[in-house]
Amino acid sequence: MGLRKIPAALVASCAAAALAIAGCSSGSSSSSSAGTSAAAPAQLTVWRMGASVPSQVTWMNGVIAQFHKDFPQYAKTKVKVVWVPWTSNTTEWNDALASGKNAPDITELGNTETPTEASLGVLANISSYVNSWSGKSGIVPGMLANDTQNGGVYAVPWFGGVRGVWYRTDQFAKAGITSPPASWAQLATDAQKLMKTFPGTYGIDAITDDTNAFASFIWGAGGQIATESNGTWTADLTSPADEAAIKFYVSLYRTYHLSPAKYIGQTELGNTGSTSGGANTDFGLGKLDMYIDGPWATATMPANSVDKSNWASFPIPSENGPNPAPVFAGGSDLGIFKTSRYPQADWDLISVMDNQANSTSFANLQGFFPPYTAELTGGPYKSQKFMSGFATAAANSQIAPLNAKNWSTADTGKYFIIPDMLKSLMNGAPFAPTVAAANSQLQAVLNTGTES
Amino acid sequence: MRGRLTRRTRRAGLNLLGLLVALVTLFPIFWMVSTAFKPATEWYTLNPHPLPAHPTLSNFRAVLDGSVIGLPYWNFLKNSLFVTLVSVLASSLMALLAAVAVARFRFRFRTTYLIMLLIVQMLPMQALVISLFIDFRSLNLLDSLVGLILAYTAWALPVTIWMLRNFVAAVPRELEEAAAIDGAGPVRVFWRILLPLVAPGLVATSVFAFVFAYNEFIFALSFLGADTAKFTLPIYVQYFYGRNGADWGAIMAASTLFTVPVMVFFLLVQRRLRAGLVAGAVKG
Amino acid sequence: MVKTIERRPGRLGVLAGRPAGAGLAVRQRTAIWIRRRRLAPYLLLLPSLAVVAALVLWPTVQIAVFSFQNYGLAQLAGTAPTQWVGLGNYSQILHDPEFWLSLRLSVISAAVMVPLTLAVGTLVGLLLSRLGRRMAAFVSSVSVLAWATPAVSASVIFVWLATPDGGVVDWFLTKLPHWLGGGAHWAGFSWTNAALPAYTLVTALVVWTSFPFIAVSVLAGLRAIPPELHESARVDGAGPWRSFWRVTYPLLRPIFRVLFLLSVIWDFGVFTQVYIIIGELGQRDEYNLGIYVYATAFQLPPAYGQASALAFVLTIILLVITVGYVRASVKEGALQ
Repeated sequence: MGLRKIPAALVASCAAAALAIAGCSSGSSSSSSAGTSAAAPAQLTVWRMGASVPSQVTWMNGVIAQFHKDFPQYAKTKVKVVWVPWTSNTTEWNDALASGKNAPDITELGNTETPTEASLGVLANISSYVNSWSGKSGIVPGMLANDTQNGGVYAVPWFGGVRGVWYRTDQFAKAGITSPPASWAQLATDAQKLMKTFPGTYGIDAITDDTNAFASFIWGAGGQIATESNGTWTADLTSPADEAAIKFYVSLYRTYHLSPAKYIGQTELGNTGSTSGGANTDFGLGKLDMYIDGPWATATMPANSVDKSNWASFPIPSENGPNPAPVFAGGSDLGIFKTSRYPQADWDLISVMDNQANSTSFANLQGFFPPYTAELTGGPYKSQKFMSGFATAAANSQIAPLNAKNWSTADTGKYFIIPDMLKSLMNGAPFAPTVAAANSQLQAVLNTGTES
Repeated sequence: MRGRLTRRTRRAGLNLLGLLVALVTLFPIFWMVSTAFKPATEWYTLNPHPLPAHPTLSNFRAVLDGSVIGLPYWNFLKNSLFVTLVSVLASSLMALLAAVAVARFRFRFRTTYLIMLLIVQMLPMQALVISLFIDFRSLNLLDSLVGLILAYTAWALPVTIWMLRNFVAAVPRELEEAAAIDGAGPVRVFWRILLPLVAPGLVATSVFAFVFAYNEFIFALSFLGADTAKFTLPIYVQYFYGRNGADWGAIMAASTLFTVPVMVFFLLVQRRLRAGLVAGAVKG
Repeated sequence: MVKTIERRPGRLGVLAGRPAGAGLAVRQRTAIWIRRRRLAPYLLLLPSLAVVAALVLWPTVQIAVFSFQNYGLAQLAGTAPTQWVGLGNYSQILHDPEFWLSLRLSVISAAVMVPLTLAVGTLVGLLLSRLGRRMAAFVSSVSVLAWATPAVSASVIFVWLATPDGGVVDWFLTKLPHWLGGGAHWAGFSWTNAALPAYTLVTALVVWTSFPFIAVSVLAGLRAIPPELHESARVDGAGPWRSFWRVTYPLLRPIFRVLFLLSVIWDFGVFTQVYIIIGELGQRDEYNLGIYVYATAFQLPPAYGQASALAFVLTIILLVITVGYVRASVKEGALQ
């Protein structure tokens, strides 16, 4: 019974010691006030999407130097760049906004994400900055309109890009394909020819998790994913044109065996969240003959890619040709994060990043197009082997419904409606019920943001 | 004659079976280490070979100097060790006190407390991460290793108390009584009598708490957000794998660096660990 | 080993002869007060109780509360108040096909994992009891390595083993003869893009990391069985199978009960392995219930209320299962 006499002091000192050890190191817990500051910030954090690429780092360093020169009051401001993968950006914006910690000051966003993020309160309203900006008049009006909601501007377009089909000219020549396919039937036949000429390769990547690319098949059949009237969305996946597109795309795997099973459930870059190890790596290493993606994917190609000098592109074909399918006008915008304490400094940096000269040089680095009308219509791209296919495709672009407020919830945020539908169909689910279910789900989510 | 032969064949057969079990069990670990030493040309091949033909340290170098994720490996090891050691210390201390209370005293809410401990062990972490996330957010403990320490300490406590109380109960009261009669105060009894005898149990529970915190994933994933500098090792390995889906050499190198310390640790304490865990868990 | 204590008048001697409260230091007075009120156990319990109450019990209550509320990003940021929606979240769950799918995956995978782990672990435990000392030590050391492998590492290793490009599993399956189910159709087979192969992989992984614990526990239990029982069974003509079920199993039943319940709890709640194997959150048709809870809460737009309702369902399921464990423990006298 001797232990009953353990004095309180021992207990207290143990507890105190434990708490002291726990609390005595590691910083953090800086106060996160929501107020803004006019003083020069010590650091601005810029979130870039995707994976770090050396040429982009060099470009950014040049822009930062310019920023410090043009705005001497920020000479001491450091600019930190954080790379966020595309498929987890919505989660990470959410985390930053919810936790109030590690939020960026400036963030890149996919242009389709801008309307949603603006409505969720992630972006600051920058109308006053934009309206007094010299660059505003040169921007492609449609792109700026995408970033406007209820009269307020929430982001500015930074660069644009469209998807096409990558191929190798020498491979086409060897397989006896004289001109790129202009219809679905030709696309399938050409892929089969390539697989026969180059045994052990895949003809084309029929991945399930890239609706931005898959949309071209729907539009190329003359259909729409969803249409809006008076603020209400009607999903169209069960229309004959849409179903034809879905059937064809699924058949690339199931019937023609042009695409391997491992691409099911993947994005064009691999598993969700990954930036390598998927169809892109396979194309770079010569295991895939045709690859659907935008010119920006050069940054994700493996370092030991083969036969790079013969890379070329053609637009995604429509169902019956001869014109190519309409293509999704993707791109990135730059916005100021709602909780940033230095919106003026953020805008000043954005105005340097996004002036005509810089955005054009940046776009050229990556295989994108700048958002300035003059550059697009000027036409330096048409003469380049690799870029010409994309430039042709860019002439016929479409964006809705991918910029709908609830589109990213429907496609990549929570529901993955079309990717899951394609995945089920490729895994053998019955066609009509699966498409019908996806259709009603899509309609519900587009309209209300949730399934019911 | 025949009997002995049969026994020998049976013995040989069992040994063969044992060897087979060991090989199959060891294979994934072997493959991890083997891949870590292989250059890209060897693991991205159609015909895998067990051993690297040209072993290389380049994968380890890529992981250690941070060329792949931007931060060197030591940064994440430091985070993990900090969180793990502090939470083990805190939980062992508190658990010992609680175990003494439960094993040596009879008090009114004792049974209630024990039942609470049992039930709490069943609560799923992935359910409670939601409210903890919201709580930590308002307490400014997100993106902070301190928040993780608190969570790990709290979660390790029920099991460690449960395990420790058997050890404390196993120390005969007569020893303590004898010491008390000899004039030793309670602190002295604690230090000189109880602590040395409970030490094996403390080792077992500390190992359990260490392994739990070192390997823990859900809380770290949810509470550390996007600040890669604060990542603990499990999150680092998963993040690495998630971003670099095809660089298996580097992924396996990171995994090896993460796993080997725990394995060595387990091997060193396995006998005591087995005794401790079996005594604690099996007794109920 | 008992350490001898030197004879010395300690505090006991000091206090024994004095009247209560007479001329004592604060410390000694506090000690008496604690002893009188029998506060010692409560004080010893206080730190752990406070920590567990604050970080485990209170959050559990919160989950229950949130499940009746509408709690999203706006509420978190403080820009809108939480609204009471009663059973709204729960009825939404009942009509949610993804909930039923994830629940089904959780139940089925646990129903396969648990017996498999127990069977493998028991067989290895039996093997260990029959092996010679050195071989047994070798096998059990190797098993400890598997047990020691963290969930994250084990998961990436198994994904690598099963990867379509360069993974050993597919290569091995293509080399297997046809009559064993092998063949060229296994080349490039993806184990992660559908629920069945993905959960097969998860099952293999969980069995691999969990069987050593079972084996060690069973071995300990086997060692406690007096050999005379097996002897007399053998003399009576019982073969190994019968001997196991008639002699070994009944004696090991309490251990098996504990192992069974522990396995069910661990396997039903498996998260890390599934998260890594299905490639984070991109494959909705492969979520189990735990992953679905996480996705509902942390993917945009976050729905903490609905996630809490799902979390509450998961918790209730686990608690119902473990009521059995608690009751068995109480019966076994674990609360003595």
